[in-house]
Amino acid sequence: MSKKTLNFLVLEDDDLARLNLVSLLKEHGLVREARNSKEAFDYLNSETFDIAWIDLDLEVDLIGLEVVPEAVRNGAYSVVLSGREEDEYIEEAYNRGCEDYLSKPFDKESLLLVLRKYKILSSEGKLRKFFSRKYVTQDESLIGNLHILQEIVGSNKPVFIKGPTGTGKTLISKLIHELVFDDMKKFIHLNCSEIPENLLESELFGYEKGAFSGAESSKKGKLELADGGTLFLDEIATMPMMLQKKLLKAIDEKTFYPLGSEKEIKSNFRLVSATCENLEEMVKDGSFREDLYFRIEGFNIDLPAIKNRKGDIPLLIKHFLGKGGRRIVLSAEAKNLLTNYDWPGNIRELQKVIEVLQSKSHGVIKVNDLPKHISGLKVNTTNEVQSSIEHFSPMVQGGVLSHSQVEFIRHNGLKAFIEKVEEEALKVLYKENDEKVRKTLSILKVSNSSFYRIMERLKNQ
Amino acid sequence: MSEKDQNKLIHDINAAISAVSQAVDLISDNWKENPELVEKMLPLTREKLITLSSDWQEMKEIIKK
Repeated sequence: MSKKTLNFLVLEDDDLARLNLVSLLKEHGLVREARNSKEAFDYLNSETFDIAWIDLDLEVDLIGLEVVPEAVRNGAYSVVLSGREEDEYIEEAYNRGCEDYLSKPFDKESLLLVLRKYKILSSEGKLRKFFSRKYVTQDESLIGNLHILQEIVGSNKPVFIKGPTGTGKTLISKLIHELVFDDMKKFIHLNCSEIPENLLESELFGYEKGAFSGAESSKKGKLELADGGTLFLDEIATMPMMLQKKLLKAIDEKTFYPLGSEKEIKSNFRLVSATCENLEEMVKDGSFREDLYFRIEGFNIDLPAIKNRKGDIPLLIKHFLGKGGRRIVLSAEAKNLLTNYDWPGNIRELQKVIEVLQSKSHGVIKVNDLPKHISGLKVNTTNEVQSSIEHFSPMVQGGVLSHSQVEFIRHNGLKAFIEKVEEEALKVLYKENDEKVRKTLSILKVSNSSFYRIMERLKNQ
Repeated sequence: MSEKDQNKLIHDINAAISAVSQAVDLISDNWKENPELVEKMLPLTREKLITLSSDWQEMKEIIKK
């Protein structure tokens, strides 16, 4: 396991309780054992500790209370472990500076909770660094929403990230992992939409040699690889129903069977899932399991499209411009166009555009240097953006794609383009048909659920 | 038995349940990969169960009264 190495002091006179604690803590760091208060004082005077675990009743009843202030002076996060239930002693322990009081009997999970809480406190600097260097935003509601990250570190509950493509869902899921673990080895990323349906099951659950034709050797699945780390299921909405049921069981029981195997595999992972779809709608129309939806929900993070936080666009432009080795500047008009563009591909699209500009421009980026689908926009007096009327000439004879559309796909990907077409088609035709759903549907030739899904996207814009 | 002694008895029972339940979990997790640890834990667990049983007898007497 790649968790951070912490220094612990365990003060416990009972041999079994001490052995339990030391065995559990060894997985997370280095442990010094003290059997009585004198040994504890000696250690506290000669070494520094991250966390001191202090039993209250030792060679003398309640002598542990004397050790708490010394541990606090040492800089250790002090945790009292006691079977004492009298409020006066609990209060006294807190008054003397203990940060947590674990009542015996307590289980492993309570212990892990304290470790996670400790990590939240020590991760504040990391969070600040993330927001200043990696996830640029000054959007108050988004910052408020992302404060939940501190609670996430302190819990084992799943995390569900929702947001349009390119808003940084993967970046946020990596941060969640980084806040708990030292390296990225145990960050297991599976984009469900990138794997063909028939291969997704074996990718997720792994397989035994001979499980199916072509399985010449055994392979571990992502679920097993994520043991002791994070399993990030990107685009979870695209997971087939049959697999959803199997995944639900694996999440619930933390065990599963690889394909063709009768050996049950245990895997304890932190689940982070993400989607750009409206899962609630999908649950309603039956294309996503309700029970799985409730299971993957825990901490929910909503990442808004950057067109809904226009104030961040200049910051992001500055941030990405600063990343290149070569210093370049934007003309006022180019900056205006970039700021007012809708960025359907969000941060990913913006970053890509800036990278391209850095590689081909001449020091000062002018409107002509911008991609056609952006420079083809004009900013009107009210600062709203309108598409210029484009003379349509297909790229391929008999085809339907224009030059600027291909340019758009090049920068944002096909998915963003299709979504944009769906949204525009629905917007125009719905209005043309006096906002009559049935009439619009007969022209669009899409299902009710698709119609409302597109409508929902438009509402969220 | 004084209130102070009763509180101490509750403390001892709580502490023993805590130690035994954690030990059982650790034994269950380690009996294959780490038999040395299990070997250390078993006699301590048995000893603790005897103490727990005796404390519980004492507690039952208090409850009966």
